[in-house]
Amino acid sequence: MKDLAEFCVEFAKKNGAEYSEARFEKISSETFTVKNGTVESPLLVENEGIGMRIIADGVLSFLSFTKADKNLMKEEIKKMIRISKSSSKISERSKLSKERVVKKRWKIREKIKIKDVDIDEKISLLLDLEKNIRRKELPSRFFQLTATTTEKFFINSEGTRIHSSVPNLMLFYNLVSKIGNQTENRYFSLGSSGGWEIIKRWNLEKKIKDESKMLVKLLKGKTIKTAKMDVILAPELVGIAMHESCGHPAEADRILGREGAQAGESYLKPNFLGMQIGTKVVTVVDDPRIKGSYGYYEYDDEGVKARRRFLIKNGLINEFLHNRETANKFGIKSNAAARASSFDREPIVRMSTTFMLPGDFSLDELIEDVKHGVYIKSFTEWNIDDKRWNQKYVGCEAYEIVNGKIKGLVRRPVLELTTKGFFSSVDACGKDLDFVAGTCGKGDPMQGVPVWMGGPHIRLRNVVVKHAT
Amino acid sequence: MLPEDVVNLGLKLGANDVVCEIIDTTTRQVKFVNNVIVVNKLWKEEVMNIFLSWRKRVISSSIQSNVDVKKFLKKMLKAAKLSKPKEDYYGIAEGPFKYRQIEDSYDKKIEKLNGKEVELTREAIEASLKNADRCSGVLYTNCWKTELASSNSVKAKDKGTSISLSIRSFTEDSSGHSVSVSRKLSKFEPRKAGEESSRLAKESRKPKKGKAGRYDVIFHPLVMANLLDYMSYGFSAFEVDAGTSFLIDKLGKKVANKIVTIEDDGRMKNGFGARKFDEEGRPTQRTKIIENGILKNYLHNTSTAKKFKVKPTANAGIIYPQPWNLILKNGNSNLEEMISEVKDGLYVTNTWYTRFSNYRTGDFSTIPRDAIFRIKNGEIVGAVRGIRISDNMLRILKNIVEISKERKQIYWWEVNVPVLTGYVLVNNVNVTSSVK
Repeated sequence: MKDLAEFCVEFAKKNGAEYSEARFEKISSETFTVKNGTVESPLLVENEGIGMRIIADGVLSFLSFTKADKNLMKEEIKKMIRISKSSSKISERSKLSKERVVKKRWKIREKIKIKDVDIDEKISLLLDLEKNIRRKELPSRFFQLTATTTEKFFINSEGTRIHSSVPNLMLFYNLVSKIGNQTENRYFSLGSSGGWEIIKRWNLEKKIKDESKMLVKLLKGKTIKTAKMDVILAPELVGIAMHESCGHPAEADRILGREGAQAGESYLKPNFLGMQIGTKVVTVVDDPRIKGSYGYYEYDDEGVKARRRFLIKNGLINEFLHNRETANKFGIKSNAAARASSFDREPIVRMSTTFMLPGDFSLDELIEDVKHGVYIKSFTEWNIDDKRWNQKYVGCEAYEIVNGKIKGLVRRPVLELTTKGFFSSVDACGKDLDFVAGTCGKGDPMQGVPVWMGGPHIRLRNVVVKHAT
Repeated sequence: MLPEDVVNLGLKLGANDVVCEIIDTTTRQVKFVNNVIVVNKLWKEEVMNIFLSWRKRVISSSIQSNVDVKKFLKKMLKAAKLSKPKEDYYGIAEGPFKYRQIEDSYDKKIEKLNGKEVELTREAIEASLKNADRCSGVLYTNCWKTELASSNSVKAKDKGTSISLSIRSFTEDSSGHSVSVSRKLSKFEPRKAGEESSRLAKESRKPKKGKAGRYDVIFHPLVMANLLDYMSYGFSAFEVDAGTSFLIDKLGKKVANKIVTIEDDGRMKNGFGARKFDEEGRPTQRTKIIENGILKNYLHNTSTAKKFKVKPTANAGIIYPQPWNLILKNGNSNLEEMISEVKDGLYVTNTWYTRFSNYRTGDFSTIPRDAIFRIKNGEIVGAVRGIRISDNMLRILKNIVEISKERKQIYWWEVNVPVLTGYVLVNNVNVTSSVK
């Protein structure tokens, strides 16, 4: 089927396309699930297909095929070019920024190949994790491990040809603690690109044991009174905030309204570069080339070489995320943010690893001059409006801080503030740096792409912390 | 290869139970942004789903590839043998079954649209621009056929079509959203959706910052559909068994106000998710989940039903039972009456980003978007923005005091399970907002 990718690109060109590209992808995955000690059905997925984009008469189209049927492809490509031509009067003229032609092969190496690890070892990993935390105060213990390998071949009518291979692992767990009618819930994902060696690095046994103990202890945690106070956020929460309130609004397609009826638009306008959004200590980047990251890539899904993007620099809006289409509209080069979740989705502007750059404070230094505040280590519920302005984060593991000392657990402290309110309250950043994994949703039909997000510990001064209702 | 060939091959290789379903789909999309089409899309896809068991060890697969099926079945069996027994696996539906046609589930006219989707999109855009400055959205058409066979004498076939439009209209400082969803072309109303979205945008101009507090809130069908979709994980026996459903231990108990009846109907006429059979091949049915406020049933496949000692509800997912079309039974009210009854409240026309802080309790928040109206003493007095509903699913169900007679089928980017619902008035809803 891979050969047909080349054929599709050529065939579209011969039939009047100004531009055409095809992505052949072969995606193999295994998912294992353990629910309260029971092994659920493992799921094996084998997908392959071709996704292609064509620009004909200035009109963009996308086609996806799973059958290696040359005649079907010919027929549908011709039909699509006809539709493009007939709809050109009410269609946008689509143009891509001029980029270098690339011929490249790249892959992520697995020290221990995931496919060489027996299925029973993968299942045993989950069974052991579950068994280690089994107790009556934790009535719900759900674990899921997914291993995916994506092989891609990208080709376009300009001469770019890129082969890549990316293996990755994701582990999701969902725990519920319960005593009497009190319950707490913790759900979390770990994800990384690479081989089975990742599992050791995650130190799962300790992490999950610690979290399960915390979750039971949390049932007796106190509720914080709504008040203004200082807040220390750990990398997990910093990460989600960078993703939601910095990365998403900086997506140029969103700024131009292309996601308007779905994931929404942005508080940022095309002319907002240089606007102050935060304090000088705030610098946020998005970088697809962080080693081991869950959304790692060297070339994006339009064949453009990946690089670090400085979205906020010293508190000022600095750069947007672009694909070739938005870059052309802004009169610049793409910064390689085009991603498609699979061959059956069009490449659109996406994040990869979005994080705040560290400062030079230790965690102790951040905490020591907080008279009364909270330290939020992990979170549960979160959401943000469709312009990426009003956001909410509900703490899961969170502690009260009194006179520079960490005290007992507090239950579900709530931060509900604006993007400007968030970034303009940051007065210090830690020198540490950590990341968490997520699956970012955008596009219609939905495209879930793997991402990392993170940062150091940071301190927010004088923000309202609410108690959960 | 036909599904029954895959089943026979699986059995020959040593499997105890085998189910195979092959689904063939053609989907088209027209995406428009700021009044113009930005991309036309087409998907021609075939997927083969295989489930098999071997001595209580179960395994599933999804294949979109030209793989050698025999080799793949061998791989599945090898994996099953290396797996552990699923002690609560009790087999698959025992056929043969007879399947009845579902009314208004297939329309040749949709299959033959052949690029006319662009014209229908233009209709919606034109209708929107009567009141709004700009609009964005998507129009989808979908044609599918499916064949399923199992080792328990099941042989089933179905086919269907659908057409849907999701449109959001904008003015300088406001927006409105609407959808039109149908299995038949004659019931598809792109113009009406365009008009509704732009009317909502126009009427909600100059919104003021909303204030936190407890309000009586009218939910537009888009909002109620979103909440029913997001709460539907709690209806699945899988989540109840996992201990993550907010409806655990509540069978036979009051979980909603007595005017609330929620059903799942796999055979709903013109239902967007209607299909003749579930993923085990069992003929779909109508199941009462909540009746007059009392929790009556969870949604089951064969195994969960056996575990819970009830009859299957034809909602397989062989592993995860799922709803097909959620239906909130209509009441006698209408939007105007509801507005006139509200002294201090809100009318929320759309929402998104619904997330849970605790799945077990159903604590959640969601962010109203598009037109939000302030109601005082029975009248709309203006529009608001920047609010969030932070509440609990059970509390919402218990505080529903009115449901309209008129209902609408909802399915779009933020509502993944098709829902038929009316306008709903909910008392005492907790509304929060950003402080800084």
